Amino acid sequence: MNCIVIDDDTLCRKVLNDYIGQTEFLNQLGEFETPVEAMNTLINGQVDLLFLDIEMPKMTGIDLIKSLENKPITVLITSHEEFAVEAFEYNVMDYIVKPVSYARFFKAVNRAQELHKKHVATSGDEFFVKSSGTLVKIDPKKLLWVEALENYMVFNTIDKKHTVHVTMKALEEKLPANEFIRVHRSFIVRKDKIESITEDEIIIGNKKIPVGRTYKKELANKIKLL
Amino acid sequence: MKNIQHFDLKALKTFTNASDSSLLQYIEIYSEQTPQEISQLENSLKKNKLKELKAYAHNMKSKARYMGLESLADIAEKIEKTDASNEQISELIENFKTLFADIKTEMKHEKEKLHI
Repeated sequence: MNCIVIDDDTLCRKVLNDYIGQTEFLNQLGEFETPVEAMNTLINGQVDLLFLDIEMPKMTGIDLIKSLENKPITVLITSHEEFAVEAFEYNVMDYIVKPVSYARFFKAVNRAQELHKKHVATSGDEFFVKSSGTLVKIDPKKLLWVEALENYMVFNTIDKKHTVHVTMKALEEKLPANEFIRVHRSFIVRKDKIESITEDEIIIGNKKIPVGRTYKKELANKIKLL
Repeated sequence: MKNIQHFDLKALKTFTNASDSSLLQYIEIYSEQTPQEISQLENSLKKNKLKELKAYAHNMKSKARYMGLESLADIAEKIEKTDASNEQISELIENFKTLFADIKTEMKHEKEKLHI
């Protein structure tokens, strides 16, 4: 698992770096004194696990997690107990009060690893679907939207269309939940391909996709509105 | 009578599961940073910036706890949570300095036990 550390204190960073070094399944991508310095690495999306201090000058750890659209599994490591309740509102995996023993650290990262395994198993990977008697590989990154037509689903990718016999439910489980949104009884769309949203429709290229009344709230929650 | 030892190398090793070379680095970072932090405390007090002073004390408490230095952390906590007069705070900083000087000597001796 790729991880980074953000903490403005040298000693705390050093201890955490050593803990990461002692843990076989962790691979450290970097250590940063401030959230701003870590931003590029975080945006590149290679970070699976983030160890984050809260109280830092200029930008706090809480500000950082609020600003991240796709945040890695996050473990807050702080000397402030009082932020715990607020922190869990932002879906952090763990909250550890300094000083952190290796035993406590190991407990947290083991849990992170379990979560990560589940996430990897259900998301991002290419998968095969049966289309007209042939097994066709679908790369979720190339998928624009999926439309249900009676018992079939039409997969619209960047370059092709595939008609597949699969249920909406099975497909929803297969696609990464942070990348795809169900917007209608018959439509799932890839979030980063959405070009615009009107009152009742989503536009992807020349395609107008209806937004179901019951799905509007979820859509609003999943997009970042300025 | 033997003086009370404040710094416990074995306990730090158990707590962090660290190698001797890492332990040496923790001791060195801590010994180097603490005098600077004491100066920051003193400057904040001089300028009467109590919020800043308490924030520094909070960090110093947290770091002292990392090193297992409970008595030092307790003084830092008193500074962090104080509503005492500047004179009394100044006295607490002096206590911190005196205790840290002893601890620094202890750390110097303990360092010799490490196998680097």
